[in-house]
Amino acid sequence: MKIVSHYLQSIDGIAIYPIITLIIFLSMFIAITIWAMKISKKNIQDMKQIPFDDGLIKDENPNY
Amino acid sequence: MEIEKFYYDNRIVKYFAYATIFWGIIGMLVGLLAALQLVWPALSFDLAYTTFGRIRPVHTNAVIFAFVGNGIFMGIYYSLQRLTKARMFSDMLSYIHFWGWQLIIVAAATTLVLGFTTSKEYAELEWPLDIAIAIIWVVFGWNMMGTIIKRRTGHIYVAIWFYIATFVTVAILHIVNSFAIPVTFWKSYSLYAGVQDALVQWWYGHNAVAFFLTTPYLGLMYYFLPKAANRPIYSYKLSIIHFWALIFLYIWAGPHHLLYSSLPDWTQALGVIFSIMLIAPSWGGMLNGLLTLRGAWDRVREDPILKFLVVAVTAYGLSTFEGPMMSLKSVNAITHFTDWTIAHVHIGALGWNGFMTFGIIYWLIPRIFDTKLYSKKLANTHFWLGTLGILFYAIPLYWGAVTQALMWKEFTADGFLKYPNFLETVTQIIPMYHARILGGTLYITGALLFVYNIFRTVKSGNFVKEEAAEAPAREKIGLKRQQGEGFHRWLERRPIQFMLLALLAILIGGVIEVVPTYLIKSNIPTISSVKPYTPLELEGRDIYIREGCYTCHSQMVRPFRSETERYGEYSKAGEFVYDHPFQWGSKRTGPDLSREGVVTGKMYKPASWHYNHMKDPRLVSPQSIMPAYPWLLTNDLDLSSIDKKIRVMQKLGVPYPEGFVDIAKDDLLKQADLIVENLRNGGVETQNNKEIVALIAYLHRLGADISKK
Repeated sequence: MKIVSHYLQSIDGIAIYPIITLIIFLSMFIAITIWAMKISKKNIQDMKQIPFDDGLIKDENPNY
Repeated sequence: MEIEKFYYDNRIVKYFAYATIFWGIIGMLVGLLAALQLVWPALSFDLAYTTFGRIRPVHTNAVIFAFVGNGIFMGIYYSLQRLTKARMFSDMLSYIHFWGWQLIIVAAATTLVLGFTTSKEYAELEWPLDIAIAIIWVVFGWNMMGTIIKRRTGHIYVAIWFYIATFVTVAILHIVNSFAIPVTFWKSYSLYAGVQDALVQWWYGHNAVAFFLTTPYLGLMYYFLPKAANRPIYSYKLSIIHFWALIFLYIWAGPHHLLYSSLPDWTQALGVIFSIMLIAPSWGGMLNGLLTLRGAWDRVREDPILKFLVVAVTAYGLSTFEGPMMSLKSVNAITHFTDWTIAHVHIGALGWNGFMTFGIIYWLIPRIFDTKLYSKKLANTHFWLGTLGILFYAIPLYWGAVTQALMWKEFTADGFLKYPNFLETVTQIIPMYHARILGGTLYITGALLFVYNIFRTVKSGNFVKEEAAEAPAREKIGLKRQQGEGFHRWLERRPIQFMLLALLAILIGGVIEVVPTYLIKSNIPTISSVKPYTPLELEGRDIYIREGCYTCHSQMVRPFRSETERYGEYSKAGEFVYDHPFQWGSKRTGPDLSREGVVTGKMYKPASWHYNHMKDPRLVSPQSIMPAYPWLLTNDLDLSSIDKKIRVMQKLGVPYPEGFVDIAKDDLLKQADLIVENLRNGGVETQNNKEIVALIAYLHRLGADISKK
């Protein structure tokens, strides 16, 4: 195993990949969390209710 | 505003529901057969078509793509129409999708049983079927995106985000992993070899779990759990974070499936870090599901549907905790190649996917049939049988896995392996395999009650083929962002842009993971003694692949003393450069075979031993649970495509000398004669054109190159 990892570590600039992934993920995670926290309460309430409004016509679908 | 009247298409939902139930039962029964074969190898019936190596891929493919696949489509076709207040975009696409998918399933089961396989786990299907899958998948995506675009609602509910991510990601995974060069209509060689092939395969394998078994079902959870509990999701904000964190993270966590194999440490470390970070969004999702039921727990006691959903979400939490744990090096050193993996995936399949599917169907069928569930009591019995089934399935396997792993690693005071005979460690855990059969039987019994219950419910109701609904047409507010409209709000009403962004998210992860893979290819240290397979060995290798030997035998000696002591020199990346596809395997029901050909090694067996072993493994190892392969002794070797095979290999960069094609057949027969001679010396008479000769040639080549100086 050491043979392989040793060989790969010698590739120029290979360490950049894990560093890029970490930076992208962390900034994305922070941005989305901040954004999600900022959504207004009313919007959230509206969105939550979406599954309960499917527009069924009661007269034609008697069981609902 | 003008109110539009329209109809939901319930018929397509019904079709997919029936297909889910049908394939579910088939997939589970085939799984039970596989479990029985591991205790009573005679149940392979000495028939090529019914040996474990072919049955196991049928089971995994049936459960994943037929049972869960149809379950996904059932749930999406029901919820998508209602969440968008629109009928499916095109009825014709709906039914092309349905029948196309069922046809693929039938073709898949048939070809796998016939031994047409790429041997890449959960992607075993050969190239014509891969193309068919891609086409039908696009039909599904087209129909779905069309529906979303013509929706009557403004906001796109979070469940649909999960559906969109599923569509784009599965498409990419499937295409990238399936690259191969065809040899014949039912045979191809992977474009990738060795380490690279393994990386791509497990990038696919891991993300197939993520984007076929997880994200679509999370979408279903976000729709059906609130519906069944009749209360909105606990935290919509959490669901947003859950979604984005999950799709960004999952795609990066692939390499952890290959810990301790020939991968660079940093790839492993990266995979592990991300796997652990995955706990956060996964558990956020699980808690979101469970907390939705706050204040309604009294109903969980009464309502079997909620029971199923609660256990499903809990199983999701369990597997997403267990998965990251298994990616820790120290844990993985024990669990990898053992039944732990099998137990782990069944917590997911039986608990998360299975129970979620049962819950949804119990909820949905009475609604589209305008009736009540036939028997709540029966559903409750199903619930308990299923739950006990999961426990009886998983706990013994965990137990057996640890037992076996510790036996593999145990040394005597004098420094020798305490259990040098691999079979000893198998015999030890056979009782656990019995318990697993009991678990599986309980689960299937429950599922049969479910089928009866649904059948009676259907009989008692009247199918509502077209369900009338009305909604105002969607306001046309233009493509531009409105004043005060946040970016994500804007994004949610632009489904194509949304899809592209989701695609971008998974592509960034994918590219960052795949680029080092390509660097690896050109950076694998070449080992000068490693040579391409001879034509006879290549034919033998194809038989090895056809019979699914990789389902039970790994070809990967990890750098542990317990492994090098048992098998020989640990595996090097440079040994696999001509392996299209790689054969590392993921489970050791039998011993590792990567040093089978090292004459001075511990694993080496003479040709006559292999001959008798294939004829009936119990002739040489009385307690063996390996199936017999008598047909290998009588089948003539098919040499019709050897020229083509060599040519394809050359195209893939395997350095056969120029003009080798012309002498390939002669070379093959010459080597076959040597093996026949060798067998004769061992007291076995056979001819040089039998399949067994090729297989022995391959087995005697395994791992031998680096021992030649």
